[in-house]
Amino acid sequence: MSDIATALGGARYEGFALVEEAPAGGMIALRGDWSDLGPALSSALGVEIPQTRRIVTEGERSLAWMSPDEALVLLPVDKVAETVRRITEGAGDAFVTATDVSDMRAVFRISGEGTGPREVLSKLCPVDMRSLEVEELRRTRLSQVPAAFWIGRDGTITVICFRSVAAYAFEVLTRAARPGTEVGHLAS
Amino acid sequence: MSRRLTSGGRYIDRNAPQGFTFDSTTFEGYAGDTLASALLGAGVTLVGRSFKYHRPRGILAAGPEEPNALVALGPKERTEPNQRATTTELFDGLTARSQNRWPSLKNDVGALNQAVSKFLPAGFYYKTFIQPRHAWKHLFEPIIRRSAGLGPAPTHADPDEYEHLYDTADVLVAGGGVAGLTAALAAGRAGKRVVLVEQMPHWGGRLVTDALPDAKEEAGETVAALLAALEAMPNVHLRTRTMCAGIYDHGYVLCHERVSDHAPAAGIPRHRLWKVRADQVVVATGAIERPIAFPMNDLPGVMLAGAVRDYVECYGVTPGDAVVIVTNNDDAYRTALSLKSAGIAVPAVVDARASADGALPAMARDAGIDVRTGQGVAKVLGKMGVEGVQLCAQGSAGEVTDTIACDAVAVSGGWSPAVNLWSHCGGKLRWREDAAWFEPDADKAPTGADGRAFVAVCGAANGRMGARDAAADAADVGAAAAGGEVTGDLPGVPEAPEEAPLEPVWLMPAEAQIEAREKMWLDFQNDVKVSDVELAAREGFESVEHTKRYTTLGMATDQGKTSNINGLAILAKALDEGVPQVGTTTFRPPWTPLSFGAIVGEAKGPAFQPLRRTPMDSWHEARGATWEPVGHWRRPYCYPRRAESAEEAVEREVLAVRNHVGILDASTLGKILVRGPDAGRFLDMLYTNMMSSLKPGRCRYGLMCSENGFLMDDGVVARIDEQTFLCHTTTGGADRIHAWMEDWLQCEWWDWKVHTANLTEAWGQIAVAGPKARKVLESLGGMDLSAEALPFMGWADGTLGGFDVRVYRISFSGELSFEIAVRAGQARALWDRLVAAGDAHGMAPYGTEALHVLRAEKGFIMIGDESDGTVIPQDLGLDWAISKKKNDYLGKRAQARMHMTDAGRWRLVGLETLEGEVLPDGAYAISNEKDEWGNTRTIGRVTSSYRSPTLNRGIAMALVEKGPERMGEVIDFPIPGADPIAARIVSPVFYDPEGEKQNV
Repeated sequence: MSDIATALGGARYEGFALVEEAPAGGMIALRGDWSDLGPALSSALGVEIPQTRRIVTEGERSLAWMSPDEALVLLPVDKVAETVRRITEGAGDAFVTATDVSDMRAVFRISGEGTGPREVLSKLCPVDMRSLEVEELRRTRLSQVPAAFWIGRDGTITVICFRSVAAYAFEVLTRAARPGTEVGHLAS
Repeated sequence: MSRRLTSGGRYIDRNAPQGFTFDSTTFEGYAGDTLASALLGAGVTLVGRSFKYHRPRGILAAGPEEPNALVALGPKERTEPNQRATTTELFDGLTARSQNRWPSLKNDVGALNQAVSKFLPAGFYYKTFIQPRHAWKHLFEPIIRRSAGLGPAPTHADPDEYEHLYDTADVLVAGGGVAGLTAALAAGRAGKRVVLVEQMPHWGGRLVTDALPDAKEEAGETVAALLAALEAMPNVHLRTRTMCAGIYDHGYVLCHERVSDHAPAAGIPRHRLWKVRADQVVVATGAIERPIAFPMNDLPGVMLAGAVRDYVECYGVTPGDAVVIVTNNDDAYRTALSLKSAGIAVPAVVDARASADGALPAMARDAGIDVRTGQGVAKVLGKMGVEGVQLCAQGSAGEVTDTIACDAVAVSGGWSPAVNLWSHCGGKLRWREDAAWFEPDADKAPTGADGRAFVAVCGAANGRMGARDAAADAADVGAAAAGGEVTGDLPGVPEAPEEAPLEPVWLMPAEAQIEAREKMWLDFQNDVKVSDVELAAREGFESVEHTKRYTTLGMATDQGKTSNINGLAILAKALDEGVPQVGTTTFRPPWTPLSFGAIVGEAKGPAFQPLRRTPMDSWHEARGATWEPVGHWRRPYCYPRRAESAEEAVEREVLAVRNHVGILDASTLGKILVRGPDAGRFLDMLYTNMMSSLKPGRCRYGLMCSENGFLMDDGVVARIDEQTFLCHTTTGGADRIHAWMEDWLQCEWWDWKVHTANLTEAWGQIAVAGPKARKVLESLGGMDLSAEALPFMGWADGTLGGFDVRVYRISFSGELSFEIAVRAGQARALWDRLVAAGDAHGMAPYGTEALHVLRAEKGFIMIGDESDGTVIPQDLGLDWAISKKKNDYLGKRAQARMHMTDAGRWRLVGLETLEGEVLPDGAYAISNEKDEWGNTRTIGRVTSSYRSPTLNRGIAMALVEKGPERMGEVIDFPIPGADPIAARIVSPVFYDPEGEKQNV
């Protein structure tokens, strides 16, 4: 099997924060009521069920609350097929749809000192970056494209958007992170 | 003449000279100067021409209220017009040009307008250009358009960069004078997150400048102490050069930061637009001084009294060597004292009031200044600048009592609270009779969604003019905005002498005759005079909003900051009403103009618009594809080889598919997964045909209509398993159709068990089409692609060359065709393998135009070509795709409407031109018969037209009245500027009507 290419081949930009495209990973989109999703997921993943608008990470697996009837699982790409099967089995008669969407998105990580990573997004997303908590997930727009992001326990922000607009997303993220354009407004 | 003083100027650094040019002449100023102070320092008092009469204009103010000193900044290619010299910070290398003059500022041909000013009264547009009728289009409008506008537009694209910034604040304070600083401190002490913005580069506003000489040091310490206290608070963010542009609903505040205007640098945005959500906004924007309407009050050298002392004290510049003060209040005496202590002659203070006995006039008298009470200005003397003033009794008609030589006039008609921000979101005003100003009515504040006030106002903007009073007000307001009370000590504000009340003076002299009133300017930028407003009143304009538009009072780029109240008062007098009865015009954002660049933000150049790229995008680019935008995607239109035109490339690509094999990037097609026990039932409602009867492993072409029956999308549906379908949509329709599905599922059929997922981008899709398509795929090895294993309109999962794929046997070209879906992350790799494998078979990549020609040869419709939102499937001869068995589908009932079943509808046919020529796309067919009114009757329209390389002639599809009933008939298509093209109505299927080629 051929390697799985990411949209930008691991693009990287070092400004006042580091913006890098993440390596290929696995993603499973889930639809269903959370009353059905919860049991199906906990048996298949062994990950705690996230509260509204939050993401829970354990080891190399994360589970995100995406909407009242939608979840997203992030996991190593070679575990996807097996996990989709287990979720579907775990759901039993419950109406749950699990779909491999590993290649559908581009994933970026923004890391750096202090409020730098948050500041990059505060130039592009109409979000209160001051009050956004660690492991809180926000679905919003990144300049002109839909995107979602969350802040990991190490302070790194993960941004996901659709694969076709990866180059656009990288362009606006790197512009926002250019050295000398720091504002520092989130430090107060 | 104006000049730089030998000492003084607390904003400038005399050790840092900065060179700049104005109208190609080089001057020198100092770091810390504004362009206005540097020009005055260099002796330049004539800086522009007025809009209508091209009157010479000098600098009136020292801040954002400036109406006159508008310049074009930067070299021609990146000119920024209408920039206020008073807020433009000087930097080394700045270039500025004056505006609205030709050939030069000193000798301006447009000034001839003054000679004919009698014929350019208020509303002259509406009166003058009526007859002869045709002259408007050919003579008047072109001339007006050429003379309209002050500054030139840049000739090149803006090379600078901009950005947006989203922020939140518990309390946002607009204005960094003593009131704003104090309010921010009080709010900050309550523990709230405070953002304090100041439009100018300095903190403290007028506090130091307006302090009396012996209190200046203390005033400076006050500002420093406030600033130090704020800077020590981690919850307070301070921002200079940031103008609060507007306040909107839900605490949304727009601020415009001039990041690097004063120090241009590569890679740094020029402006930054702050979009702040604030719980509470405190407006501390101070006050604006008003001029007085006296004859020739627009001459260069006439300046606001407050501005004069700004220039003297902040920049070490005097507007003249002998400055006469004209006032109706005590405050202007500060200017007299300021000038006097700078060693400038003040020949007289002309005070319109009968007496002036307050502390400030007394100090002026003590300083030896001649105070003339009860006097006014009969006329300012001079042509291009002030040469003297003639005095008269204020109560007179203007009989001259004395003449004083001077080269500048400092005028003060009192101050008006800067209430604009308060008003933006609905704050109401009240008229203060004693002070003659409008001030915010605290009981009628802008309210938020909860019905509570979210904007507060303090200091001079709240009508609390004295610094000490303003600071005390600000402390209360700031603390209240933070939901707390004033805590801790606040830095002391120096005491100021008590001021006697002003006397409203709207006209000077009070009994001025019409000749004099025609020389009294209210709006300096738009050339609106006292006589214009009076004329409007005489002509029946009672509403201030109408008068504003009729006379253009306050409609210039300064939005009437210095002219508003004076104009209202003149109108009130002419209407014999009180000022509050006349009311004010509406203040709207922005407070001062902000750049288009800031509004655009990062959305320019490569970030102008998101461009969607398929996984194979870089391959197309490397192959020199010409692009076609489809939705936000870019798709290869064709792949011209060296020296090949696009037309030639398309022909070659079409023939490659017909004769050998072609490869197409079809990744942009929408792919929506529909799954659930009710999925079949759901799709039966969405599509016109039956989808629930489709067998797993099979594909079916389907049509979707809106509730009104109109065709909105089409595509192939594949049944994956009992509960699962994959719906292909058009490229542009994917997001829309997914939203359409969710709309029905969430709002109408919420109890149906159906899930959807838009998987468009999860998969790359590659079409391999042509007689040799199977051979190419088989050479990769893997799954069985024989007609038996994978028949036409079937699909199968398997592997090709080691890639996991799903292959659909569907055809949009009429040839043997496979569409291969592969995970997006491997699409490029598979594409490369297929391209390499295709070489042996003469395979060519083909683009969207070849795709269109191929489908048109087959008579396949294209959404957006054959459909336009008014076409139903029946019009297109697609009755076979409309189920007769189903009780319902979206659009079914609409399609039964009388108009939809009208036998006279335009319906799809093919066209063969008699001479083989290509019909223009969109050409209309006409009937030989006239309609009932004797007009030419249109009976059809070309929907698609191409040159068919396969048939070597022009082919077209068209919607023609009763088209299918007229087979063989010849109809005419008139062509503008050429002979009509005659075409024969034929079947739209030009190629392989039996469909044998695709089914092998």
